[in-house]
Amino acid sequence: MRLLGLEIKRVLMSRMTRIVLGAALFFSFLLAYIPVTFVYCRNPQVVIGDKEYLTGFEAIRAEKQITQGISGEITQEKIVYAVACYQDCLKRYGVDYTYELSDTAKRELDPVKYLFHGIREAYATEGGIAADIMDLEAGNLGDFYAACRKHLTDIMRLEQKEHPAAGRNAEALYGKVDMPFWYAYGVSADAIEYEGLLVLVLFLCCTVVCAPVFSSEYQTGADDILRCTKSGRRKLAVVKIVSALMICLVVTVIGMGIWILATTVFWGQEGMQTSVQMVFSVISLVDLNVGGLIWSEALCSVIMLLSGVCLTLFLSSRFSNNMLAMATALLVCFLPVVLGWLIPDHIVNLVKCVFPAGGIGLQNGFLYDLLEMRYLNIGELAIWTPFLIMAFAVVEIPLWIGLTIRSYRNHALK
Amino acid sequence: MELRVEHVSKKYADKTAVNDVSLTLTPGIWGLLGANGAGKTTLIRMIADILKPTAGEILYDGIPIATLDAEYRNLFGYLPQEFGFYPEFTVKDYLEYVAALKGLTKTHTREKIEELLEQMTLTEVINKKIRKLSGGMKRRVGISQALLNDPEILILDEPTSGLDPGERIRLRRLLAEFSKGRIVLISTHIVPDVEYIAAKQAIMRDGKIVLSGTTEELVRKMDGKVWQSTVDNETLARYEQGLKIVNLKNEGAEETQIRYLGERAVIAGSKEAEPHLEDLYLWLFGAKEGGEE
Repeated sequence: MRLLGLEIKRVLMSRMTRIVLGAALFFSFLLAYIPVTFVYCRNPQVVIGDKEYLTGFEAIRAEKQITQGISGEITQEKIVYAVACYQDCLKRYGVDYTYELSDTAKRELDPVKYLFHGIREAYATEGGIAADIMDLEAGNLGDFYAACRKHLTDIMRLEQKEHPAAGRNAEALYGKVDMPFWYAYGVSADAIEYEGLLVLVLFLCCTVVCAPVFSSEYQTGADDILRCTKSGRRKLAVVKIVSALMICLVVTVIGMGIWILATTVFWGQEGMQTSVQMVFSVISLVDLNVGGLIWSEALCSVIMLLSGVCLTLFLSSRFSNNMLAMATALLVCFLPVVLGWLIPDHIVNLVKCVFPAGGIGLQNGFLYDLLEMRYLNIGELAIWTPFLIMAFAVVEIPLWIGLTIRSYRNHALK
Repeated sequence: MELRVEHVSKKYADKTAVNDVSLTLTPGIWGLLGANGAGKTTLIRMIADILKPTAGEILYDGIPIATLDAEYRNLFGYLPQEFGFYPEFTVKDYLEYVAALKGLTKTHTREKIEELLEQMTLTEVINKKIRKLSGGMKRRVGISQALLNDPEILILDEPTSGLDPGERIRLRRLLAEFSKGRIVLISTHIVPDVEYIAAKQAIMRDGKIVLSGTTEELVRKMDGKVWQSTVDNETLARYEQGLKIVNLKNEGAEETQIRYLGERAVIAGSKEAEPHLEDLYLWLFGAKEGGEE
């Protein structure tokens, strides 16, 4: 324990570590705040001299007020009411599309606007094309939730034509989703996506902190003294790994904690109860509300990040040059992100799963695996990619730790 | 107690750094002398068990050191020729860190650090960051860490580099006292550092031990090979080209006293001089090669 304490002290005393970790915590707050600046809405009670549009915190407060009518359970009545409002408004103003409406007219639709996306999606055609709300019969809509289930079946048939097992698996998962959905204005989809970006930033910081753990000892020659001591081989390797993981874990937990706390304060607690299906796709397979999604992503990210850190430590134990170790660690750890830019989605979404931090990314991050129907199909077996990503991340933690210890013990012996 | 190096070799793709070296180290101070690239550091790294020999083995009291593993390292103290510190660590932090690795208890660590810092005259810089220390101070911190666990085998690679004359003398005294009942191996190119404190010497050249024995035995090999003469400055240049001159001393404006090595006296009137270990070193390596060190 004394050695562990001293090793943690040693890592934390490095100037670069302190700068990087300070930056990580700063970004945790910044990335919670930035999505607030994206919020933009029409001022519901505009009088002469008032602002026509509201932004930031003002907009969040206004949106909560505007959407109060649809807050709570999303019942069939609310769906029918939203369709009726939409059709009535467009007919009265003699337009075919909402973008043709004036701001005054749009203001009439604002209280129910957050239902339109789900309605269009649920009542989509069998070919998956979103419904035009003007084409729906408000009085004869059919059950919204039955429409959601049918839409999922249609989509799986379209996207996983060759793999009926994936369809069955998706329907089974969707069967567990809590219905009716629940809605209250709160954390936006943008903000939730920024959680993924924060994980990426934290991972970057942890990689920079951990890449020199072994390699800098080799480079400076400090290692020669350490490995000649009684506990300088296996025990020291274990201590260095544990201390690096502890530092990364604490920084990630604090960073995510700051982000979640700030996000909750900025957007309000009530929005955390909103069903994920009301913010993203109505056929999302996760049985979670927004708060649950945020916490789940945070928890899974911590595991992926630690797995990625273990790979970084292994690379650090292999290289005698600090910069080379860092460059390789950054390249390998961020390969899923880079591959996402270079190769088609349907390939990279499977390839990335084998990486320890395969779910940390931008457009191909874990959030999208949770929200979309991505499956690895092997014969009759269909595995939902979030399970696959987590399985690899968990399995690779002991794998990389074991290889790191072995690599450190044998370093320089040849 | 003995540390036996048995037919140890270390070969790399393009060179043989250590070639079939056998040496038995017994308690006392040993000097390991040799020019740059002679293989001293490679041999020392193998004795320290941080480099595996290509052939041969190293045994401590008859047991291979690889088998003893942590038990061997527990008896071991090592100061490498070049080594890195943690720049943000203070002297105390660093020594506590190494002491923890050596398995010292907290109380023992505190006492030992105080004792060593006093011996190394580092007490005043105990809370100073290592990056702010001078080269000599860093070296002394390095020596301190090697002594933390009172090792039975102490290996010091170039321990005096960066130390001023006073510090060198203090270190010699400390090692002379410390070496009782322990094996101390000092690798150096500064011959006077080991001539008077090391009872035994091993001299390496091209990866091999070319000579080993007590200092007296080795010095005696130079009997009748060290000469002293006074020459005028006009002829000095000629002698410099043809003789192994190990020392020059001006004698007035026109003459120079020279000390040179040779199987016989070359200059008329030369007197046989008392040999030193340095003469043997230069005899083996040549003034130029030896001087490179």
